[in-house]
Amino acid sequence: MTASRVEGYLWSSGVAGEKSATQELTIDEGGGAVTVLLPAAAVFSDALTALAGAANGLGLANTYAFTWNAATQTVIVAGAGAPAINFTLAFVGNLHAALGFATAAGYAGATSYTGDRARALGRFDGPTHVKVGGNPIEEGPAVEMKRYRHGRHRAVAWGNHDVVSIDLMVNKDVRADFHASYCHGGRVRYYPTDLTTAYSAINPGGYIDGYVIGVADLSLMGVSERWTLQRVRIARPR
Amino acid sequence: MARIWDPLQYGWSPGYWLTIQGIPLLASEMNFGLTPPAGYTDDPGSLVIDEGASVGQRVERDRGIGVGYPLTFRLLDTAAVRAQIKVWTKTAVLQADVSAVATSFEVDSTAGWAPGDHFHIGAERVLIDALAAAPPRFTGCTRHVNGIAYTHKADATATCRITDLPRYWLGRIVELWALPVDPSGYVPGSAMTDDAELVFHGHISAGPDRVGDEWQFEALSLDRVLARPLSSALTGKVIDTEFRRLALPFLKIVYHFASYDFAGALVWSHDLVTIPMATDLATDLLSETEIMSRISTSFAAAAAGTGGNVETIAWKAVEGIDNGQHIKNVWMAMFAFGTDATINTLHTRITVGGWVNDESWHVGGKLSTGIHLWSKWCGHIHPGSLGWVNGPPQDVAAVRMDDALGADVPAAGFAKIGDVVYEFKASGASNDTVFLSGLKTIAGQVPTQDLTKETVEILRTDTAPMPDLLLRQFMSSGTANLRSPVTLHDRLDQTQGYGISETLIHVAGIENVCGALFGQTPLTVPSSGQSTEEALCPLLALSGRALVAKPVDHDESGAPDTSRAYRISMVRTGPSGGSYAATITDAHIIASDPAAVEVRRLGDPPTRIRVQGQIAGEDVAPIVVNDKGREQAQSPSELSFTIPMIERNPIVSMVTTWARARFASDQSAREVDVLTVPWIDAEIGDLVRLTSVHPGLVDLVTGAAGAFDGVARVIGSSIMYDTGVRRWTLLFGGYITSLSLCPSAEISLASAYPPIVNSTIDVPFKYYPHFAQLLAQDGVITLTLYDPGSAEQVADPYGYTFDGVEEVAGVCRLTVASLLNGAEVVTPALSRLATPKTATATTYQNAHLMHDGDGTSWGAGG
Repeated sequence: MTASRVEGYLWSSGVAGEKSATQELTIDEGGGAVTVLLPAAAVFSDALTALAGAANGLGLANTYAFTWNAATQTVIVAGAGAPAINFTLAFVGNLHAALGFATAAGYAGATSYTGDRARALGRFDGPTHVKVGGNPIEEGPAVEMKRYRHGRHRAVAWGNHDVVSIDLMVNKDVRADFHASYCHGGRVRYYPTDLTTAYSAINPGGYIDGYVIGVADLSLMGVSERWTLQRVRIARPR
Repeated sequence: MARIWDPLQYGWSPGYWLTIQGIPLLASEMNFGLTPPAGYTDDPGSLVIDEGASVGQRVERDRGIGVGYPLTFRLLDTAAVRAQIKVWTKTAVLQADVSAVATSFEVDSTAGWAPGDHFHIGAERVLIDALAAAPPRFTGCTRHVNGIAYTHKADATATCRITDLPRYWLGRIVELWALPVDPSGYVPGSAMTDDAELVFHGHISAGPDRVGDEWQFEALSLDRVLARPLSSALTGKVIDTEFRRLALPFLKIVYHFASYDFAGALVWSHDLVTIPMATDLATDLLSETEIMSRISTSFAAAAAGTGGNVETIAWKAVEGIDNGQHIKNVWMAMFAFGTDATINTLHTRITVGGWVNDESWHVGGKLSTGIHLWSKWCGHIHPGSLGWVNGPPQDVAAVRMDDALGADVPAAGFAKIGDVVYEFKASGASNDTVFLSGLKTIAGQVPTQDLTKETVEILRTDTAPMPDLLLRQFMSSGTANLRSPVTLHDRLDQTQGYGISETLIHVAGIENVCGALFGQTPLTVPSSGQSTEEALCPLLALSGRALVAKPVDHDESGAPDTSRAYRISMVRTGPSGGSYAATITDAHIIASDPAAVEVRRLGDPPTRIRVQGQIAGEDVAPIVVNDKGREQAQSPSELSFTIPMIERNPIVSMVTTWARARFASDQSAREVDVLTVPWIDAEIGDLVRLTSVHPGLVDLVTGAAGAFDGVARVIGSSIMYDTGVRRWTLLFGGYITSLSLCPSAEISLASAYPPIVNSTIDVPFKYYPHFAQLLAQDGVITLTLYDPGSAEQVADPYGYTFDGVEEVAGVCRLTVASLLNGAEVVTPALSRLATPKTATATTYQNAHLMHDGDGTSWGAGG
């Protein structure tokens, strides 16, 4: 089975200090803290890229990279230069938890920081932590769809959406974090395989990008109860 | 600024919290973990609003006002809630009036109270700093805790009772705030107000009612306040029609009487010193009867010490000639003396203030009881001048007020006496009696019948241009500028306004939308007995405008307002206009609901519009406009309005224009209800563009169905609490596809001829909002200059760019920034300014204004 994963979306108002949950952090290279702002909402991986781009657009001495280490399930924020200089990293709102850092304030004295929280709430990778089922995609109830007018399908969430159900297995080690994460509510992207293209009728292994509209049928798997099986219903914009 | 609804598309959800005026409890749906506003204690989880359907409102086009949906909410029966709802234990009764800023409250007793206690009086909560005696009072009080301050009147009844817990909840302000909660449950910010958005502001209309084990309340939206009649009219009864004068408490009247016998020897003399109005206040108004009575009483008291020589004073009205003038009804004082046959002559000297009257009388030994010597009392010094030249006035009335609020009677205004409305030029109050003078009917006639015993209804009115009338009614609290420290519209008496804070009123929006219509034309409207909705909104309805309460996103000049505060504003209600605020597409429409798009025909369009003018509540000749073609083909259908007016003629042309516009647009106008996502950034009164393949939407210009693309006015907007689904009610004009206008503004004056850079050019005020919007959109206005009938200069038209527009003395004044193609002669009352026909127009002009070629726009590209 190829690696599956789940990523949440990090939202940004685009304005520093405004509804700031997952959109900004500060970097201080010694000249004072500057705000790095996620310019717009983005899925976790894209958000890391966007944050790096925002940091590097501020005229700082280092060149910054925000990378995800799938093996360790951590985010690394690193400054490079010749030579790289130490910087202080701090987060605003809940971004530290989304990226997997234990506290919001004060990572100092180094040129690179690795997430030190048990889990990043923005991304869960398989096969260790989650498994997006082998036959994950099922269209929503087709009968109901036909009831609606104008050739549209059912839009359970907002606008024109399909409803798909995904069988998701979650490792008990991360179960609590997952259920409080950005991957279990809101807008998410579920990758049943390592394909980085979107699901379609001719690309059934592609990712599903949509809104979690319900989680049902939770059951514990096996005697060890190591895995939780649940059905996640996702509304997917057409 | 991102709206509370924007992040919902990424799985966020709104969390609600609520405050009630004067209640220190903040009820919230969940534990937000944020700092509550100062003075409030958070009670997490105590708020339940699931029973409320939605928040929002709908414009009633024929009433000129938006009707906000009510809010139903419940509070759980928590200890904190119970502590507020239970019956009070401490009471006191207010003993003296208290202004909205006073810090001392005189009460009947402070027993049981302690410094640091809070008390409730009306809807206001007050913190006591200290207690004081003689008289008992609370001092150093902190006013308007958890709310706003009011003026309180003491009448020693329960209405002025002070309690330690609320006596009632009705009428208290309710504010519902929404906070964004991210998908992980995190709430941004550190305080509950940081990212919160006010989604409802209203007043409790019912509750608390016990429903199950919860307390249920119902609240009406802020705009519904404007449907509440302002104070009932002051009422009373005419007790007489005598003229009143102010009392002179310090007036001393000295009487000197000296009698002489036949030999010329003094028999007796007496000096009587009286102060007849010593017990009256300088502000008391006294009739002549009352003044004479006081003089008589004080005279009798003084005369008692004369051993019977001097007895009484009496009064008689006479006519005659005084100082060359024919006088009527002048009162003469007549003195009576004891019998004394020895007296031959009597000398009297009466000193009234600075006026002295000496007279001598030959009595020839016949001075006796019953013989009255009269003294010419009249003069030119009050109150010596009792009486009137040329007869008593007919235009006066003394009114005994029913509710002892004589001081609230306006200095001038209107009063309905019997069945007739009179205007009075002056008034005065004395105790519970009000004196009205200068009474004339609306037709200018003085009263012709005796008004005594007629019932009186004193109509409080206000006269001002329309925007000022509205803003005064909204803000006035009875304490000058208490509610309007910036805009200064709080100036009417208590109960003549709603006392709404200026922070809840979109002053700029009202002034722009309303001012463009009425300019500085003053109107007189009743401010008592009627609501704003009754008195002023019909005029707005007729002109295609309405008052609404909404989150304000930009003012009428186009400048953005990022605060998005929930405020009373004014919007246009016609289906067409200029730029649109947002686009609704199929992707926004909730397709799961079979009723996601519903098209409705408007109600029966009128064939006749009747406007009944009123002057202070008195009907004047109506204005009627007919759609005769339709009336011939259909049954007549009348739409009527009642509006205030001072003069009929100036308003006839306006009414005719408005009525014809209504006839034209209503024939094909349709309402469309659309259910969408919540994050479309438009509000009630805005124009939105709707593009949809919905087959119910037909383009009436092309006749095509299922490919709709049109601009509509939002006349209804609401968001459902639980789902976030937003319902729009859109008004489409049907055949009316007008983009906007192509202004042709007649120049009335220029500061220089020909105008040069920095010159000013005046045009009629009605162009102000359009030019102000042009300037706000593009930072510059480009207009061409032409004289009607002259050859058109297409290639290089004369004209100007302007960088300033302002309202000055009732005109729209433009400031020239540059000249287009050189100077050109400008002729006042002939030359005109118009939208450019070429690409010299600015971006906004190109996109939204018609040119005179074929009535279309040049498009965004020019």
